[in-house]
Amino acid sequence: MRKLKRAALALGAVAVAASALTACGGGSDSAGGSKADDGTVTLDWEMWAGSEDEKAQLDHLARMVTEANPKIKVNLRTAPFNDYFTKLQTEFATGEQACVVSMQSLRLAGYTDLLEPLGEHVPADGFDPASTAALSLGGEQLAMPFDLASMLVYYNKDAFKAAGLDEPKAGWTVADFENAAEKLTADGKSGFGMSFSDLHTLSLLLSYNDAKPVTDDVKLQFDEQKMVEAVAWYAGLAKNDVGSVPASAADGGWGETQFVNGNAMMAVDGSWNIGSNISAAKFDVGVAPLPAGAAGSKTYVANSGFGVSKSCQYKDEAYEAVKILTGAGAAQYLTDQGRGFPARTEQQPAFKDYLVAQDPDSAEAVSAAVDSITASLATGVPLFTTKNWDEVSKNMARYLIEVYTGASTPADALAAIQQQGARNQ
Amino acid sequence: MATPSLTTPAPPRPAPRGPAGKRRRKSPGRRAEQWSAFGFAGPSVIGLGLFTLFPVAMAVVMSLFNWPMLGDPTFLGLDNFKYLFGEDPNFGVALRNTFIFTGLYVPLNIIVALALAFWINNSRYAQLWRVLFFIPAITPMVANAVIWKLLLQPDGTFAYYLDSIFGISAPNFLADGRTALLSVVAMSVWQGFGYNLIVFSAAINEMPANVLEAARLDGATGLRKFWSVQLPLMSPAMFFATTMTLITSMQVFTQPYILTAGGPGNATETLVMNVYQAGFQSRDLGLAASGAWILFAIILLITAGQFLGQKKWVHYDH
Repeated sequence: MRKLKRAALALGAVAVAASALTACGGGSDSAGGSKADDGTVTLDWEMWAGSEDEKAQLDHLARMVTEANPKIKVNLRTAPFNDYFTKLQTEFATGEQACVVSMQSLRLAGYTDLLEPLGEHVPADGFDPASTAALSLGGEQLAMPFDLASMLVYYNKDAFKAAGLDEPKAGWTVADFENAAEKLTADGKSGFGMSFSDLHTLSLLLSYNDAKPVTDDVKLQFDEQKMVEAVAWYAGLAKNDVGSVPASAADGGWGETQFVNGNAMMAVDGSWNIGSNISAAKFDVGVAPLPAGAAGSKTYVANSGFGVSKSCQYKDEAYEAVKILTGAGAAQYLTDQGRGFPARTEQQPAFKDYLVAQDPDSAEAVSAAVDSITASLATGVPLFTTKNWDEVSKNMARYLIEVYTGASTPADALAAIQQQGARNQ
Repeated sequence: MATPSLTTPAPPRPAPRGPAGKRRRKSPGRRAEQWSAFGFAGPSVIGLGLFTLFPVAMAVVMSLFNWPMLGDPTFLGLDNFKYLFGEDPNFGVALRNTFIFTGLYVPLNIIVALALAFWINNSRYAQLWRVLFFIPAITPMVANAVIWKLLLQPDGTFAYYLDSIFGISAPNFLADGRTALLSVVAMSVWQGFGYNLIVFSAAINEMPANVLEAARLDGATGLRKFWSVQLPLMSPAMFFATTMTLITSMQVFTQPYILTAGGPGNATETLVMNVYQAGFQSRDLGLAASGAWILFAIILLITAGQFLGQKKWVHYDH
């Protein structure tokens, strides 16, 4: 019996020790890459991908790295975008992070201590300045960009024609926008699809009166006076159903979905959706820069890129990989695949060619849309976010919807977002 | 390890119990039995230890720390609990919402399941009804919630029928703080009653015919028969159904997460949502562990109360 007890104790101890290893382990020195005896380094690359097509594109990029540097191999690991950042933070917490890490500008603040500054190692020549600015924080370039996005007003051309309204063009104002939204509201359809998502809502507030929810030194200021005024204006659109109010705080994509469905005649959406919106809508889609408020038309820009994790043991190889992954060859390949508006200026015109080739019937609309992107980028500024931005976004959804339905005042809702967000910013 | 098999001789009978047996040396067969018992139980014991007991113990430790997802933990003592009950603007509301949800969902679920179980029992198409009502319970919750979101949105099916039949302009069900939680309850009852309906249907079929016959001869009919005869006969099934439903309703997460994301404001934030947000949005694992422990304690207390209370109303002998 004593033996049995001893065996049970030993097994128990092994079990506990093993679980301690799995739960608390991490920080392994070889995380994210490995080196073979012949000196070939295999780097892990973590990236989001939603389909087999996207994975195939990324595999192509990985092969480009090895073609340029036969001693570097890239092992691609993917997760769907919605799970990507949950996976990434868990990997960092357990020391399983990849050497090459894909990063979105809005999430950058949460990873500043974990990414190696790239300044001296990866040259920033040839990139649109807005794209590199969005992926740097505290003066350090933490990732190199592969795309660049701005926010635009998408509008229903057919509805504008039917209402006898001039179509929006660069330089149109907030007053023009309000007038159009009111006139387009009829027969149970709304003039504008409202939103509470960060880029969609905050860009329009920025263009309205230069309201900024985050200070230049990345502190929340949701309760600032300009924000209160801008939200009061935005929520005012809900009156008389001019603005279509989201059905619930879980409807992050309400405005743009209502627009494509033909239930709202205008919506703010990202430039990344130009191709899909034009082909999905059963009406002619027009695109314009955001309406200009007192300080002119403005928008936030956002983008994604690739960085190198600080814990990576093969940093030189990782820098080389990032150079290729964001290089001119990769940019040309991704643009030809229609992956998004490229961060490299030289490849930007090719994006227009790709969209026109996809939808030759809408060549004119697409061409004008891409011109709108270029125009909006000229006044685009990066939206720097706090490291608890997920929490802030959640609270924006919950509290702004109360303002839109009239259950709360802009000042109270913004104070709640500010108070709850300030704790972990 | 010595494991008895068909090819080895049968082990001798176990030593008799009692004081005399205790003094006796263990036979090799007995020892072999112990080893084989350990061999069979071992994997589950190790699994339980690794994946249940260890995380539970770890959660206790974490609840006493400021344990960020990225970075080093620091000891806090009971500060996480103090924060939840003192400063956290959402935890108290989440607690209240969870109790309101449970208070509405459990009785509604039981009443609907019970009423339909009795109705179905007399129907010619009993099997068909059972299958139909059980479908929501086995359909993925997320899919159900997404469909309900479409039904409940301003231009959705409910709004259309309210307007066309009753001429009532429907509220924005999920965006209005007065109707959001009720909508979550309605969806949950629709999703959940099928399971209890099957349990009650089985209990109704198991009722002893002689007891019902005796009740009939004594003149018991209708409500009197239901209340004094059928319900007591079904009480073990009722106890099982209420206990399990109550535990799952205290842990409600998917329905409000998909339908309302906890909003508007914090009108539909539940305890598990609060824990999820603390852990995966605020990345504060210590705070999440504290919230989870409070939820566990509440469920444990309520369930213990139910087990103590069952002596008064649950009848196992018939």
